[in-house]
Amino acid sequence: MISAIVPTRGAADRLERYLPSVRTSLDACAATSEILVVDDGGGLRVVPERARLVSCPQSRGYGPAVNAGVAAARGDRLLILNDDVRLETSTVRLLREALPEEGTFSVVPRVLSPLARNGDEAGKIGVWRAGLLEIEETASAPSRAALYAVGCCYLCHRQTFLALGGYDEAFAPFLWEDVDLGYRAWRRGLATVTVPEAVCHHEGSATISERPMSERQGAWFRNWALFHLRNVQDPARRAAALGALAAYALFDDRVPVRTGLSAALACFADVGRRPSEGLSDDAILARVSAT
Amino acid sequence: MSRDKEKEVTGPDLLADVLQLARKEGALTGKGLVAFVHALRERAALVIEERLEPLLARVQQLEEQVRGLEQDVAWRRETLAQLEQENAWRRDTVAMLEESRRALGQEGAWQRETLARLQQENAWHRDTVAHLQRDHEQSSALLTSTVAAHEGLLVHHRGVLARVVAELATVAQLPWWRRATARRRLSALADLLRSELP
Repeated sequence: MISAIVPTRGAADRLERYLPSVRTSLDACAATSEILVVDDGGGLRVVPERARLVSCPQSRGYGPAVNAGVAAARGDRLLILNDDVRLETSTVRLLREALPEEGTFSVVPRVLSPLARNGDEAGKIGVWRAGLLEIEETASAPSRAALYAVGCCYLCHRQTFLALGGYDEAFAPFLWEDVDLGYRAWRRGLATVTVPEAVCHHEGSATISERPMSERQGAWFRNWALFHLRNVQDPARRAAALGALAAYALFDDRVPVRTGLSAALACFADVGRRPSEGLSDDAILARVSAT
Repeated sequence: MSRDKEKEVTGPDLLADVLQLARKEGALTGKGLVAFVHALRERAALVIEERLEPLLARVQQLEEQVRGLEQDVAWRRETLAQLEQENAWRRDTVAMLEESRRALGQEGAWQRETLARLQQENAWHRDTVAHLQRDHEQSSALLTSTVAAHEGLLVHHRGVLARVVAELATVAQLPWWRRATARRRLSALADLLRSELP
């Protein structure tokens, strides 16, 4: 059974516009399915047709909302979606066929989006530059390993998702939680793979773009820094990451950068570093580099 | 964000916090320190470049604006000079036209005076012609009457002369005894001729 998890912040209009394509694609994949709409903040007045509502009266952001949906899901496979994606009829079937039973965390369709410079959000790779991991976009076709599954659309096993601990809620409300989850999966040797034959159309961070730019920039920098503090294990890379963060502390006086870095340090003091086990950072980066 | 909050987040504590964490994790010793410094230098270059990029773009934009303004000022200066030249030309032209207007005014007055004079002269000529016409007519009439009188007088004198010739011829043929008659007839002839004297 496939459980589609669709977190939303009361965007009934977007659900009305896009959910029918999700239903159609689920119906066309020859598997039982359910749709769970996670109402992040309790703003939804109407439950969409053929959907189960998971209500989170207090908005906590994308990661916690997906986690709540997964907790309520009955399916053994999870189709994680944003509320502003349109699936093609074959999308879910192709993803399901491409998801192996083991060794892979998630499969990602080609995500056509105006946000991506190359028009395709799915082929995310990681590049280590000047002490920090930076995300770059590549084409998702032909099928390739990606650093992480973009949160707008991917299919994974529920058991794997739960085994990884789901989205780290320290990254709430948004940004970098999907990179963090993908990196943790890679640490365990679980790949994220693009399935370019499957196509998803993404309107483009409709929920996040409703937030003020300064808030988005602050959250982005906070979680970028937190990602390194939480995940990077190799001592030299970790020292380099700290050196790079020191450079920001020294030379970047933009308020979102400083508040973000400050918040990351404070959060890290609470949540700490992940245990050093599994694939090394070098091994992970080798798997998700451009080549 | 308030000023206090900005000061709070832009103060030196942030760097101290990062360094404290780096020290705690052993990133400031041995190979870690090398990696730390190397990354700090590389990332600082990126940050400064990123921070400078908008400033450089702004400087470039300002330079372009200044260039544009300089061109504008030069154009304005040139235009002003041209306008001043044009203004001078206009002033000269106005003075010239003023002079022409004055000359035309004087010429007009002279023409008006001349016209009046010519009109007076014309009237005088007309009067003179009329006067001469009248004189001519009078003279013609006089001439006609004079000629007539002269003709009459001539006829008369010829008549008188004929009478004198005839009388004298008659007297000349009178015999001597009729001298008294001759004498009387000569005396009458003398009276006759005397009466012809003016």
